[in-house]
Amino acid sequence: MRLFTLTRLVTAEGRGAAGRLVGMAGGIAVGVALLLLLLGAYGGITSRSERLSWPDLHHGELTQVPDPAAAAPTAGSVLAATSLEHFDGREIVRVDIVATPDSTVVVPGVGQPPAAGTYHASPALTALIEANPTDILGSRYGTRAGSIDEAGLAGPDSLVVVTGTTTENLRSSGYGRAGSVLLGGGAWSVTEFRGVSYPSSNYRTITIIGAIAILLPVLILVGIVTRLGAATRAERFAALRLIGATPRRVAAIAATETGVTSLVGALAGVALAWLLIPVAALVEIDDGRLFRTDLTVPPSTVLIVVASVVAGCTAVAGWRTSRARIGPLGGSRERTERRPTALGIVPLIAGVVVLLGATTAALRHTPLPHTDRILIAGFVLLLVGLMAAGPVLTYWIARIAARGAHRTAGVIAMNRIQQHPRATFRAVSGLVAAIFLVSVFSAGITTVAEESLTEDSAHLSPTTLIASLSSPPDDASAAASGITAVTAAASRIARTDGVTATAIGYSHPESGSVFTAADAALVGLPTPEGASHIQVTGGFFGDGPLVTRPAATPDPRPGILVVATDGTTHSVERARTAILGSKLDLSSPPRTQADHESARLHTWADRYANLGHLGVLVATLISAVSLAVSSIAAILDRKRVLGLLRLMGMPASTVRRVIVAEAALPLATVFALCVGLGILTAWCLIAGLTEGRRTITWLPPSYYLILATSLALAATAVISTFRTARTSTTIEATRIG
Amino acid sequence: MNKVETISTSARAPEGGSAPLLRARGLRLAFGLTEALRGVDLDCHAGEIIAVTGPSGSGKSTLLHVLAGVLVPDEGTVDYDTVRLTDLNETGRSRLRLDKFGFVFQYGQLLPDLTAVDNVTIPLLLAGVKRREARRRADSWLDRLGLAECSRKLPGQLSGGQAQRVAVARALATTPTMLFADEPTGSLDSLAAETVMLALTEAARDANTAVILTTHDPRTAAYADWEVVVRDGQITVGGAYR
Repeated sequence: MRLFTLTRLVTAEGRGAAGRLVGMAGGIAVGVALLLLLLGAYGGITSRSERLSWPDLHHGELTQVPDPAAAAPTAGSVLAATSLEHFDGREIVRVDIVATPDSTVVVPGVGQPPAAGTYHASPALTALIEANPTDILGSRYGTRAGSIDEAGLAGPDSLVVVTGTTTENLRSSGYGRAGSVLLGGGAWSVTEFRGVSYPSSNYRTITIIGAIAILLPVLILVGIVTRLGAATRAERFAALRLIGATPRRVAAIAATETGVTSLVGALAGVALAWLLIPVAALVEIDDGRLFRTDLTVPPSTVLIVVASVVAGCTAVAGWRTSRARIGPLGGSRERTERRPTALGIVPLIAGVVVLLGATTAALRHTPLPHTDRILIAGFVLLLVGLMAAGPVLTYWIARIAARGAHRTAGVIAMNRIQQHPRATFRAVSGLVAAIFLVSVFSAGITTVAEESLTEDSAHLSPTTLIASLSSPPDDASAAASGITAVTAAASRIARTDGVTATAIGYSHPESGSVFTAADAALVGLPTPEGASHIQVTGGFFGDGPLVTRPAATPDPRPGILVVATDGTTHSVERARTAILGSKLDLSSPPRTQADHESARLHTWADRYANLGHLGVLVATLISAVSLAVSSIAAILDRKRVLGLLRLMGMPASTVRRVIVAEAALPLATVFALCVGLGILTAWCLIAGLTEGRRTITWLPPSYYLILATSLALAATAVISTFRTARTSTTIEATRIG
Repeated sequence: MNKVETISTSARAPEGGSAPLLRARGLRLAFGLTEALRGVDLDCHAGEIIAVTGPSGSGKSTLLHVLAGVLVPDEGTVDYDTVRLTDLNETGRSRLRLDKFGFVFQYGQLLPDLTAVDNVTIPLLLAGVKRREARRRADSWLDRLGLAECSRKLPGQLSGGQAQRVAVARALATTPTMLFADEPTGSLDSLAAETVMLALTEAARDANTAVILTTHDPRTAAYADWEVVVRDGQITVGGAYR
């Protein structure tokens, strides 16, 4: 207890000391809050993947049902099929279930399977259904019987519907992909619906990189705030040494001070994290927003984080104090940093080599084992390398700049940087990391931008619906009735409001579909002159254009239904609902090229862009705080000597120029390097993870905006220290009167 | 250097009829309820060295700072040459301090990251002297004070006496007409104190710079032409050394 009393007397008395401790606790609070949110998000994403992957069906107890009409559910099993529907560019996961009234199978978030003709929808889908006319959306599913609760949903934005149906109407759909979950296709007899944590290594790679990107500035901030007021503290400790305290006792006091402060900060961080959960839950990551409960961290994890942070800070404070060798005669002589050597740039070069090596191997389609891990290692090595190379480069540039400095501020700043390259660079290291990350993420996001939707003569209109039809049975009479049904359905659909034309594509013995030239022209397919029938090859949703050529009379089996609309959302969705309600035997739900592109691009955009923007935002904000704190600390540590210089007549503007120069030089030194390496890293990650299927392109204007915002934040951080610089270097503040 | 005359007036009579370089009249300054200066008069002529002595808390440093235009008195006037210092704003006083005054303090006055020569160049650069010329002058002053071999060393590599002599060089580098020294030997041993005071007084006399210094140490005070004793914010005794 005496140690605590002594610590309080020595370190916590006075306004300045209180401000320092509050600053330290605040920095730790921010760090702990972000750490807890990150841990929560990571855990939340894992548990969410289990919730959202149950419609995949492949993870439960199941048996494939080749012919649903011939199968029957039992009390212990249901027949189920999942499909992916679209509505206005959004994906709806639909699970059709045939169950007996006494079914014991539990549907996640629903409970008892719904009766035929009824449905349970997620709250977001319910809102969508209620906001639109029934013939556009609601009539697809029947009568609403209830909602799906959190246990069966990825998040509050999930569009999921569980419909009860009959064996006759159970659709055996094709494969699909909803966000990050593959929908297996086919119809299944299921005894248990179960989700799993999906093993997407690319996704994990990006998540881990995003977490590191946020954690690094947090660690830098904590490192900086725990050094706050080191000079003042050294004076107080020296006074203690003078009156007989042993170095060990002084180190214990320093450790106690930091320990108590970090405990307060860590507890405040826990509270802050709790308060920030509703805000963090608004961020869309991968498959949309998370539920608030997803972001909650178990108490055991909170305890471990708090204990680790407090123990770490305490140990470092004690170690630093004992290493400072504070003597009884005051703040002794200032420690000059060891001069940085060229060895400091080795990790940076190693990072570049690792990234390029792994990417080159992937581009040659001979990827190294665990390419994703190697790329993460390369990324981390590069980031660490930047931090290690920064002081070296800063020192070299400062040496050159010092020779050319002609003004007082330049001389003071450049010499300080030469003597303290690590401390000076540390002040901007968070910002350097942020600029690097801005470049990585912004360049990474361009992989999406380059795949923009195209519409030309060789493509169908993005608002034309295409539905694949199941192959008719081999039995001739059944096939004939099937053909009649398709023709009749197409005619009905053609009469739907907003539909401009329909065309049935018949199977071609070799590849593609065959249309009559008249139908093809009506739905907008290019038609060779004079041909009565045309064969269409190339994917309707493929990357390449459709190829049309004259064809002979087609095979009579219909394979595809093309429905052209007037292009409005209502017309497209009304037509889609009409197709789904037409009782056509569809092998895949109707979709447009826009749906296809949106689904394909959305996944990458969401995964990368949202994590990227979040990382950049957090990293930049924290870095700006770090820069401000660091600049203030650098001035406070020199306040006496700067105050004396001001007493001699040095204007306050010179002190301001010193602050600006000390922040600007290290930043300017590595700025171009950060941007270049950031873009290189993004390319390596994208090209390496996709074996060259994707690449990056020119950075979008938003990048320059983000970069300018980051620099503006840095400038604001520096300017915000001017007042402190002026007030703490006044003549009164030097306490010589 | 024996003390041969003691006077009991608070302000000395003009020497040889010449006008004083610095003239203070009726200085009063309070910090809250504490009256640090209670009606102080003082004259200082060009080239003269005055030691202000007195017990701790008597107001020595406060008087020095008021005379140098660092602090503004509640009452009274300070005239430097033809300029009424107490009428100037902070910018004007800063400019005057930079152009005409030099300062030496007890400790912690050198920028730790700058070499001795760079520390000496700072006031010159502030005064608008080119870097090359500033370094030449700084080297010259360090040489005059016997510090030529220390010019490229950092303050942390200097002894206390050497650091204090660098501070003297810095104070005199701009060839000020007045030099204010607050306990310039307070942190030094007697040998170093003697070296510093010799350097300071010789350089000041060579440059015809007036010096006002505060000190507790009678041996330091003995380097002055005059000694004034401050007690409870008033000059109680004045004396001359020969």
